[in-house]
Amino acid sequence: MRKKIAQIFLSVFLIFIYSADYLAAQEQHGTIEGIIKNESGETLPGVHVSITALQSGATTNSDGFFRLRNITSGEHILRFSMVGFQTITEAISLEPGETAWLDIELNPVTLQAGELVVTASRRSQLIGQVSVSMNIISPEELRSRNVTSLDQALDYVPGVQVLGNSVNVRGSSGFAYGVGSRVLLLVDGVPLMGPDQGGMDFDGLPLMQTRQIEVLKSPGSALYGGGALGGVINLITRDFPDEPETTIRLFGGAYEPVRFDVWRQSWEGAADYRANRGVQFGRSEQLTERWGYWVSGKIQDDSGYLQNNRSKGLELYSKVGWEISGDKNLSLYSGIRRNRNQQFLYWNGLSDPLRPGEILLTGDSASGANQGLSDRLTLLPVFTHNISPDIQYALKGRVFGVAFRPIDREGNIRPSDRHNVGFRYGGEAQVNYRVSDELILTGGATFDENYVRSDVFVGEDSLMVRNQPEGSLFVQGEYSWNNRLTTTAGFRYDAYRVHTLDTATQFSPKFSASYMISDHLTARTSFGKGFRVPSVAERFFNNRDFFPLESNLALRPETSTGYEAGLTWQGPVQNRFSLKAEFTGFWNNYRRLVEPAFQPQTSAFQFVNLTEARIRGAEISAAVSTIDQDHHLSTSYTLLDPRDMEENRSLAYRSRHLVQVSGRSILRPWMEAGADFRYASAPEQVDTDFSFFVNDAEVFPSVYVADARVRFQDTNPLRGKGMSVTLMVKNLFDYYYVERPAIFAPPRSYHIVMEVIF
Amino acid sequence: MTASIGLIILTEKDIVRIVRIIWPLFLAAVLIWLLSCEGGLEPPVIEDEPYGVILGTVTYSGQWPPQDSLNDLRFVPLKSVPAAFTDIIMDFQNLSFSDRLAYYTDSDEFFVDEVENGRYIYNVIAHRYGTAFEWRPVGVYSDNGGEIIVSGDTTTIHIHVDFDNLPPFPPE
Repeated sequence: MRKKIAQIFLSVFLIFIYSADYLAAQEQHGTIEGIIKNESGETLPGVHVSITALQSGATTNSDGFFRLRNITSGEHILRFSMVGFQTITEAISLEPGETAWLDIELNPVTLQAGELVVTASRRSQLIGQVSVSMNIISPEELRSRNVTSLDQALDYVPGVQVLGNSVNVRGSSGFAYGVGSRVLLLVDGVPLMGPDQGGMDFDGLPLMQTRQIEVLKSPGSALYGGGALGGVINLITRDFPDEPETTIRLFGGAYEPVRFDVWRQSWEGAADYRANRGVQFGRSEQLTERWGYWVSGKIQDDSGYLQNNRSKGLELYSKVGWEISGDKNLSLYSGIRRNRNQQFLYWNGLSDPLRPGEILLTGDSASGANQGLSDRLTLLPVFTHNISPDIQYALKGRVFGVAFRPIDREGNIRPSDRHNVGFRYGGEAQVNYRVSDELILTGGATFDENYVRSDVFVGEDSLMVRNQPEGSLFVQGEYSWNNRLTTTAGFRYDAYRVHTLDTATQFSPKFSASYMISDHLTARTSFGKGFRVPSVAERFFNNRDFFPLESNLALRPETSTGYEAGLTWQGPVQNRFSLKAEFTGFWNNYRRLVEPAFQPQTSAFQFVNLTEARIRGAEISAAVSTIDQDHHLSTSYTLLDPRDMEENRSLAYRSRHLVQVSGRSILRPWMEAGADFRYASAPEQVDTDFSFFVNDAEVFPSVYVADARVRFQDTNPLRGKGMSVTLMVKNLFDYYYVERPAIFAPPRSYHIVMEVIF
Repeated sequence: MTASIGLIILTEKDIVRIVRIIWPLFLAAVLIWLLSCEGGLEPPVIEDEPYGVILGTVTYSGQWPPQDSLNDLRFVPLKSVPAAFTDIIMDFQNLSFSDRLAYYTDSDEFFVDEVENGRYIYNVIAHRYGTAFEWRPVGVYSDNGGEIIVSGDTTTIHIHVDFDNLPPFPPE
């Protein structure tokens, strides 16, 4: 009891002491006020002024004026910051009762030049120093558009067009029935292409934990080898934040029924609003000084807007980082995904586009839809060691496994001999060596093995197991001749097995240069060779269940030679805007291009080295933001001349004109609105062979798609780091087009996204 | 600050002026463009009677081919004259044809329903003598200049096949 009374007295005494101290301090306070202007003398509203040590701060008003009251007298460091301007600090000595006045000038920064990229040279560099065409997709863009898969993210990248599961960078890919890709997908610099079809998986990626997506739009084989023939997409995962962060995002929506009765009549589901919904979640944290992690996941159920097009999926990703010592780091990225998908392969014609069709061919019947269970596993361990400030090396491993189990019409999993299993595993070692201030060398070696077991990859040799090992050496040197001129030269030497015992080699050199004409204007030029080894599916696929396809064991790698030159202007305009404008001309020659073609002898399609081609064109893009980044407008136009040089006609499934326009504005602190528009002209040439068997498969109209969204956000720190609700309409004008040949693209759909970050 | 592109020198004010003028023009152009584009894909227009029927008889003369090369025999109406038989096969999805005709007989009857309305200028009895892609015409419809016009009704024709005197292919 005595002890308790003593505690109460002690508490009262301490409160008294602190209160007295507080009152005394009140008498020792002063005020700091002032005006903040830019270098032209214009006042700047919205500048954050803070004294970190006191956790005190204010924001300038519309006249650029700020006032900090009740500031303890003494020495203080003030910090002035605003997006688009260099942050500065100012020391001040405040006397008791004094009102101190400050005149502050902030200088603008060039925003885009500050973005770091890693894809162009396999090392971090400012995007302004990159000598090849490159775009960045920021996490803000992903969040703003509620991007849940990679194809949605790529829709508004200048010069990029997604046709079904083929990514076209400046017309590189066309459409190849989902197998093979002339654009390489990387996660943190590690290739993540399917071991069987060699295609991209748009869904199996940790978009919630993405720092940025880099899109390299010229041949990247000199650094990344086969597959980077047309370009590279590199998803960079985020680091671990100092403050723990948890994000929960719920999304749901519905596809609007199509407006034509005749389409609705053939499938009863077409008359209803078809729902899609899901939840994404993520947690990231720096646990200790040495350990950090993030996890994220997605559960999704999309009933689809076509018959037999439902998909359900669960994805989980994690990354764990361990700072072994000050100069050694180890991280492990892992991902698992399970999907139960119905796959709509081709329609029943333009009079019945919402239902799958059938191919009747000399007694064989192929169905335009299938379904199955798909599992994926990804493991990417990375070890980095900074031997000295100038030498760093990295060891990266990769395991990427896929399994597909088809499901029959009754919903049962088919026997195990019908299952497909594929693994891609390998590793690489890379060294970055800063030889001098002028010269940086990058080199390394890679090894990868593909293993695929499938009943549909049976070639003339009747084997069911396929291996496709490949290895490479690469080296690159960057030399800065002075502050303005930088040149890069390098090559990669690849060896790969193309047949049972045959090994082929490929030499891919590159050269590029950038010259800074002025502080804001940069000229660049590049040359590079690329190649792509046909995927296991292109060589060995042999099946008629869904489409008559024959294997071709004699298929040879395709190669490309690309040239590019461009001008980039980036910088502030009148201290009000940040502008980036770019003009690029490009010329790519392709040899032995692998394309599907109908073979009358076998009455089936086959991938063959069809032709020589040339794709040349020009691209112009501009992005303008207000300096506070509240308003942003970007637009791009790409002109393509894709030519089949042997047939002297346009290459199939390439649009001649691509236009993209995006805008977003923070209209109120709590409201942001945005809209996107993309146009792709109808391809001059389509695969007429395909249209012989599938009704109206040659129909491929121009694409005019507009999306719009409005986002309401509450960023009150008392209620957490942020809450937001986004309302979106995709395909606002309900324009009907095809996603890829003989597949109807999504009609207008409505979405709501609720997100909480705490 | 100035930016120079070739011989053109732009000041900041010029750039701002250009941006101010271009923005609304650009947005207006996009809006007009969007509003002027059509709604995209549409169902094909379906006629009241989009299909007709071809009813026919076929008579034979000459030496029938051996049994092992008689893999199929059908009447096939075509809207264009093919340069090679693969042209016909490649248009398989749009083909109409009769049921298989009887072998080693003097005459037979056939009919093809759901023949799309239109002008058919090359109408043949087609014989498959080998694999799925090895066909040849053995008799060609020659009345009315060889033309059949299908317009939702029934057309009756007659074709004679002389195995000793096969029609040229491709047609002359």
